[in-house]
Amino acid sequence: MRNKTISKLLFNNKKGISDEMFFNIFEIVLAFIVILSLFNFVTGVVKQTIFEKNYLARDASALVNTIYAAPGDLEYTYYENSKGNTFQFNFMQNKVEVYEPQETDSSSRVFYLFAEDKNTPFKYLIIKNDKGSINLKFKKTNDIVVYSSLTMPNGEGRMGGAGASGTLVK
Amino acid sequence: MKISGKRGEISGEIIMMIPKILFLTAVLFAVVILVKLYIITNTDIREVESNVLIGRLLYSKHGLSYFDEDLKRVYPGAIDLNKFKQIGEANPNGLDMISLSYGSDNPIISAKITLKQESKDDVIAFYNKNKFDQWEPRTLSTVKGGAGSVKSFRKEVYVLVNDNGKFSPAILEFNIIS
Repeated sequence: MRNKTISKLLFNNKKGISDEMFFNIFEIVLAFIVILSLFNFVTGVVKQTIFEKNYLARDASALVNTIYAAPGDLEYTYYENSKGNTFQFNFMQNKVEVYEPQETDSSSRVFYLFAEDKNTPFKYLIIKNDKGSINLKFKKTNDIVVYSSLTMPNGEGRMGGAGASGTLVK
Repeated sequence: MKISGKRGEISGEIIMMIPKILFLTAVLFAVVILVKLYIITNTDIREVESNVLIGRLLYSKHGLSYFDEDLKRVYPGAIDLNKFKQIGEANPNGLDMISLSYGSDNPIISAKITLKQESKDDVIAFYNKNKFDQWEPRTLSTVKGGAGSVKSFRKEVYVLVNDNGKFSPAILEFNIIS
């Protein structure tokens, strides 16, 4: 009943909105919805971290390959500051996986391959990061160990009180 | 169809709106496609990987360079001829199974390494031979089905060859496909 009164006021009343005005308003509202949805889409794209994860995975795997190329022993610190993102590094057999803590689904994780030297085994490790920046330390002697600067090289316990930790994968 | 009266006027307006809505949808899709087109999700590191592979083969203890067991040191750029021949003859996938292993299947990189010595036959060794044979035709633009999906990099390095303690100059040619 109330709706009928409103439509009567809108279209039949001389003081109400004319048909042309109604369609003009409709067009403006439609254009506004489109602009809003486009902004929403662009904001979503900006928030995506696929590029960062891809970049970090490739960078880390290239770094492991380079460390293997060194003729002697070495220690290298890789400083990663992803400005607010808390990327985790999972060094696995032949690959390094980069993901955010909330990404439990493996399909949203990004990985890249590196070449292992069976003569110099790589100690697989998950490096957790809850502060947005992390120091990855690589140490090559008879094997390659990677650990965050705040954890012990064997992956047990923390050395400091800040937010990065490592878990040794058996 | 005759459009007359109040209701007819409104339906006529609606019909007139169809091209506008279609145009709006086209613009919407165009913007989405353009944005998606300019988003880069991957970085091409194939050339870097090729250089790292060359570095690994030349400088690593378990690469192609001569390793002095007594001193426990590598002579970077001094190729151990016996080791090189062994890699070339014994197992064409020997390098990628032990020293540079990407796992059972290596989808990243492959290489053909040719050792050129003066007045001697070339010695050839492969890294990931199976994939090299598979990818080599794809580096040509004329090949149908997958042309350009892989990139080829060539590099020549001047080296010394250690043939049972006797050093002689040579050229090591890397043909890497990634």
